[in-house]
Amino acid sequence: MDIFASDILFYIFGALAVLLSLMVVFLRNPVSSAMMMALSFGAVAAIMFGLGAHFLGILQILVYSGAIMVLFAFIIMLLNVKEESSPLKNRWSVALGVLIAALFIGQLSGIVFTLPGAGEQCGCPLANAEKAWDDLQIGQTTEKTAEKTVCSAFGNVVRPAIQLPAIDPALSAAKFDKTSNIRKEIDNGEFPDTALLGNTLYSKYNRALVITGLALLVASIGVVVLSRRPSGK
Amino acid sequence: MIPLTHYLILSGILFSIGLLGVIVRRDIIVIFMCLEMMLSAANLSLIAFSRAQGIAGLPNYDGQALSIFILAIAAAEVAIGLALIVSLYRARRSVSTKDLNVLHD
Amino acid sequence: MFDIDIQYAWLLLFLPLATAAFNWFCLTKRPNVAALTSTLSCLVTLVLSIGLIDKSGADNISWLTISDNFSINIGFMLDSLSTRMMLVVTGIGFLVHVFSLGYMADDEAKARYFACLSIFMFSMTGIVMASNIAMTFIFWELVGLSSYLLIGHWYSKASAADAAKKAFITNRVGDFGFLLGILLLWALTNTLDFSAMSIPANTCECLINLTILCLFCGAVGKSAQFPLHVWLPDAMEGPTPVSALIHAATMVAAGVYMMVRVQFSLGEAAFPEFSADVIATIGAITAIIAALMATQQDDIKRVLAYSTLSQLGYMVMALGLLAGEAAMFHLFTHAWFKALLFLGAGAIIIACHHEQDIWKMGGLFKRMKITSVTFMLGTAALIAIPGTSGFFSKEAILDAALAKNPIFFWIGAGVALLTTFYMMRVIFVVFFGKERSHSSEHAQEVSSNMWVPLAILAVLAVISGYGFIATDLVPFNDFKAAEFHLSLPFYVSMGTLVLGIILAYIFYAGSPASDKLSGNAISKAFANRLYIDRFYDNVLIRGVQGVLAAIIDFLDQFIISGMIVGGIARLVGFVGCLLRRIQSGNMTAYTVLFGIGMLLVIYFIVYYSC
Repeated sequence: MDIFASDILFYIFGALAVLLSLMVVFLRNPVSSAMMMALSFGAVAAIMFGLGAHFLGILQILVYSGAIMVLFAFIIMLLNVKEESSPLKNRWSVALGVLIAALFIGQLSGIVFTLPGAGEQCGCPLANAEKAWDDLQIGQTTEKTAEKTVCSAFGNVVRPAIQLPAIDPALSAAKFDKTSNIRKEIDNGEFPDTALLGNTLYSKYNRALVITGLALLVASIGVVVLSRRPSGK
Repeated sequence: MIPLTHYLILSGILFSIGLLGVIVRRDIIVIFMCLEMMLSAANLSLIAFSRAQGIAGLPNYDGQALSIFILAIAAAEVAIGLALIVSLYRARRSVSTKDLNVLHD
Repeated sequence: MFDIDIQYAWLLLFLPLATAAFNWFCLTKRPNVAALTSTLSCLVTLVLSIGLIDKSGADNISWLTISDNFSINIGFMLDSLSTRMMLVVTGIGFLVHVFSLGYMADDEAKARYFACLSIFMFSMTGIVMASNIAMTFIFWELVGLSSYLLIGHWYSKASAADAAKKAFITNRVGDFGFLLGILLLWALTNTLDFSAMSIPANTCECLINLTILCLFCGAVGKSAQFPLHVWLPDAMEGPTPVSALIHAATMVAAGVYMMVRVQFSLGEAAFPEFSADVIATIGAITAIIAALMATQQDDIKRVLAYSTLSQLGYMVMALGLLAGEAAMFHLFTHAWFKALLFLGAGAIIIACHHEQDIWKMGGLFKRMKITSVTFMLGTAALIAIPGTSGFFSKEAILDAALAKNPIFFWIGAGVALLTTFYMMRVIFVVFFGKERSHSSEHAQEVSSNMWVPLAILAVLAVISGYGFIATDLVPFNDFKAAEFHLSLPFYVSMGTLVLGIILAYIFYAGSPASDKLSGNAISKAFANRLYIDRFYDNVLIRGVQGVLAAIIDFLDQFIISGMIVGGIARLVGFVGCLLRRIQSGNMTAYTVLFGIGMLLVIYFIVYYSC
């Protein structure tokens, strides 16, 4: 697998995100946890930028790091939450938590690294895993290159890496009306990520978007109701 | 280029760390933050999939739309959840799960 | 008569049910309206059954289909047997309704009373018209229910509530056998329909005996034959019109009717000798012991109750002598005159301010002319004075007995003698002589809606034996009503009649203050019902039931309560104690469990393959 210079950024930010998340979990002071959380969300946002989801990266920073974490910090200070004793002292829960997390990651890699269709050749018991993977239809739009079956010692199959397709808006420029802004931006050689996402949201997911708006409205009413002091006092 | 699997594994690790935090922490506010972390990890994998499912040079925006909804609902959840925590604190003067075991009796 | 379609039989069946429901649910607050509704509905059914009298046919609705050869229908079957019986049921039913309008005028629960009467009319109609024996059984239970409700009408009185319970439970014993009999009958004939029933050749005779005796068990319960006769006298705790309708004329005759129906469906030849003998013997025993007991009863209704028992014994004896037509004929005539006697007794009781003891009555003939005359006409029919209906039907039974087995003939003659004796005793004590108490001195003739039914019944009691009413009563070609020969049975019955009247005159004419025959051991035994009730109480109930109760109590307490129910409870408690540890209220623990659950779900969805 070739690693390009720009790809190093993914690993850096990925490591950062994992590290910061661990600090969220294991720092004793809730305020520091909140700060680490904000930073961790920033790192995740950076990875999203790398994936080409520019608008969502911005949203991640604005909503999570900006709004939500500030709200958390505000509440922590408002309630004047004390530092708790080190989480590592809860040995049983740490052990169980680590075990569950490890098992989960193990299961995940079992799915992710298994090749579709190759199980039978290895006598692999993971037919369902392959089916699950097939159902996702990942990577099938790209040409299937080098599907070499590699049987591991456990009867597993090592899946060859699925490469992400390159972003090239010019390829689908023809889908959009010539007078539309999207088309114009594409023709200018830009990648109109926000406009394309908006296009999807307001056409295909219009109804869901309205309902989400309703949910937000209900939530804000709920917050008002919940934080009102009982009138009797 | 980085293969899809790496993104998925990263997202899984972040999710597991969130779960770990929910399990080991006693402070309900931090637990709530960890929940947010799990949601954001899910967002990450959705965006990775959206990119991997790309058609004709563009990402598949269905995944990104879904992650927008998750973001919106997460924001609503945080607002409600923090309001609940505040009123809980008012009632019991504590935000530690050690003190929140009324269900036991 | 006028012509109506046989489909009206459905109306005949379900109109009383609708009336009962309407009364029960809508009219409890308007008792007078309820009473009129029931009476009108009964009048309609009477008109319908008159209209249907010469019809024959059947209609069935499939109710339960359990397999190819086992299905139960709800339907009616009209033939001369059922239409005549319907005439009895609706005719007496209507007159009793009218009588009840007066008798129950001041009752608190009039609406309930009339609703129950309508339920009874519905169930009795069902039994009479049933096209198959399963349907008979259903309605059989329903008459049991309505009988229970009506005997216990004054349920606040302990004796009435006990009598209702006794009637119901005693009937259960018989019904158990009846149900077995139905199943056996189905096993034998492969059908439940009366019209299709026939016993295949080469069937083991013992099996047929068993079947018929099991069916007869039902008749023993419902028609109050020995040894299950004990409920009927106690059933007199109910209102008198109920006694007339249910416990004299119709319901208690249902057992005989059912046996006649079975006898006709299977053919008389299908009755093996053994079961016929058993039936005849039981009937004869009932007839004789009931007649003996009747001679020493002081309660006017009880005398009539024992008389009913005795006459039912007659009918059953005729059944056993394979003279179903004679049994049915006697049932038909008996229904009219016994209903008359009961209603007359009811009128006397009302006139004497609810006094039932005949030794506190007397001289009522002067005060209640119509009631007395009608009562005497009923008595005349019961003791078989020539020319009355009872004479012909009793003659038919005695003829059959003499032809089959002279022993039964002489028993029948003895019962006839006793019947004359105890009925004339009642007549002499109640209607003649001096008034023995304050209440009989102030007795007055009852109101017209009570004596009109009496008058109508009196006419019917006399004439119902003649051919123009009772003709074609049973589907037998050679059966003729109102037929007698100057033969031995005639002379013997005349002899018993005269002898009975003379004996009663010797002991009870003039105005004796009390029974001259009472006091000795034999009459005490008769008055105490031959101690049969006491035997049941002491031996069966205290002894057998006590032991059974102890066993069942052990089963209940130790096995069921202690081990099964209690064991399950303890197991659940134990598991609960274990599970309680999980339910710690600790959020961390819940999260761990949630995580484990999540891992398991992933495992089973993705990794688990069979």
